[in-house]
Amino acid sequence: MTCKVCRISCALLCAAAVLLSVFSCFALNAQASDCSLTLICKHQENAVPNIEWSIFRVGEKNNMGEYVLTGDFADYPVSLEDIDTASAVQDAADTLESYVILDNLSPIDSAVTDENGTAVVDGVDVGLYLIMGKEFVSGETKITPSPMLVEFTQEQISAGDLTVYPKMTFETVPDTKTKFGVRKTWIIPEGSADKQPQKVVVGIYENGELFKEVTLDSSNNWEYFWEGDPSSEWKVKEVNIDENFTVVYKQNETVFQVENTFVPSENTDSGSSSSGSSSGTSNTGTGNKDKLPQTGSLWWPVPVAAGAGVILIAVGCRMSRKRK
Amino acid sequence: MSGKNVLGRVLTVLGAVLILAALSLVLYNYHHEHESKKTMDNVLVRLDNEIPDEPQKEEASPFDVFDADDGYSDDSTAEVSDEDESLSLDGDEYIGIISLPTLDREYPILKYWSYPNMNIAPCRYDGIRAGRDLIICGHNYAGFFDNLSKLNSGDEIIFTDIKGRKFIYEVSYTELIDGWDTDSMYIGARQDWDLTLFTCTWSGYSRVTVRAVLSEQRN
Repeated sequence: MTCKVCRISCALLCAAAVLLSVFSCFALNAQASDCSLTLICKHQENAVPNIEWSIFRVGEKNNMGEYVLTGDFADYPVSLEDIDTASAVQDAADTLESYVILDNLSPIDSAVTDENGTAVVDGVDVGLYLIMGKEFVSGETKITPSPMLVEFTQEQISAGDLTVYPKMTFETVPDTKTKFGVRKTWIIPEGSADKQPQKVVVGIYENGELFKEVTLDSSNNWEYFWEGDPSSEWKVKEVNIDENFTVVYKQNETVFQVENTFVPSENTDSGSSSSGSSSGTSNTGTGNKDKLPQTGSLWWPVPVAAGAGVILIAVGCRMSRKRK
Repeated sequence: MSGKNVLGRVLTVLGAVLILAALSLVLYNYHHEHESKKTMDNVLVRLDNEIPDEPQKEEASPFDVFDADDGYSDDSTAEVSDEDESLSLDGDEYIGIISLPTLDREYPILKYWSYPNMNIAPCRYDGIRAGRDLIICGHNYAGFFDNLSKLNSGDEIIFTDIKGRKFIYEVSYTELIDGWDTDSMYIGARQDWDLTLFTCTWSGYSRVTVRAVLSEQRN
């Protein structure tokens, strides 16, 4: 009897296991709606082979329809709120690329362009993706792929035909050392000028390795210059960014700009007015911000007092005269 | 002496006191405005001497490439996130001189506004020139912004910064803004106007507001 129960139990368990396996296979297939992405690299109609491309899922749209960073990128102080212009998108892509390189983040997939300049990467799903290529030197020419931020929607994923045409810059590598520079800039909303740190430390990286850490402050005009190998991949990264600041790393050939924007938190008293001036200046006036300054002498009491005085005198004289 | 007679005399005296008070206020205002004008003229002469007649050429910075796409390409320097540069006189910071050729007036412009500062000269209320949202407030004292309402569309306003660069603005329109309506003062910055001057009306209730757009920069 016991043996029979055991056999039935075993059979039921096996059947359940088989059902679960089949179910989970279907479930996995249902979730694995991701597809491949084709990258086509051409320069003046010529295919550009041997560029290694990687893709990273950096964010997605939240319930409010706003982009937010997710996963490995969630904690980076990079704002995706105002990426409504091409230059803002490029700045965000450049900044996230710096973090990928310097923090050695792992991509979803990588691929190298073939003789036709084509590379195919897999694992693309709905979301915001960073597509970045590895800089490399071919002969005397340095090829620098521009990182891209691309959003893939459910419709695009369902259609399944995803193709992007990345941009690249080509420059001749000089034989001698090149002068590089980094500058620090601030965007501080009005009324928050006191929130700007007095100095910042910026790490300079050569091919992903720390080359030097420099302190930028008003004494060096928030700038630093150095000489380095032009064939190397140079990056900069700010060390310990103050809370309530976002960062944008901009790069143009041999110069870098580290731009910090102050974003007041709900608990921070920004002291800003209702104006929302975007010029990053502070109005340190001492007047009442709710009212425009009183820009005139006090004249209105003059006619009031004079008029009242004349009336009082007239009435007074009349009363005195009547009495006489 | 009857009560009515006393009341009549009291009213007469009270009336005389009120007239004297009004007269005193007139004298005080004229004296105060006269002293302020004297101070402003003195500052203007000194500031004019400090500002170079020809703007100094700035060395090109390798970082200029980042300033080219900042939306303010009419400007050659990186000022979008910086305040207007200033010059210190007697501990006060000045950002330049405003000239109103049609009214034959010139004013030094203080960097920060406060009521004591506004007794010296018109002041920057908010914004910056490079941000195309500079707002300047000034008293309606005689010799200050008392004739601001006489500016008409097309009249020139010249802002000379402390480097000697001249920025020519053209008056586009004038308006009256309620003294409590701070938001209206900012509406249209960078789109409808690049520079605003304002002062009180005689009653002090509203602000005569002159809006101007940048038409030319002379370096």
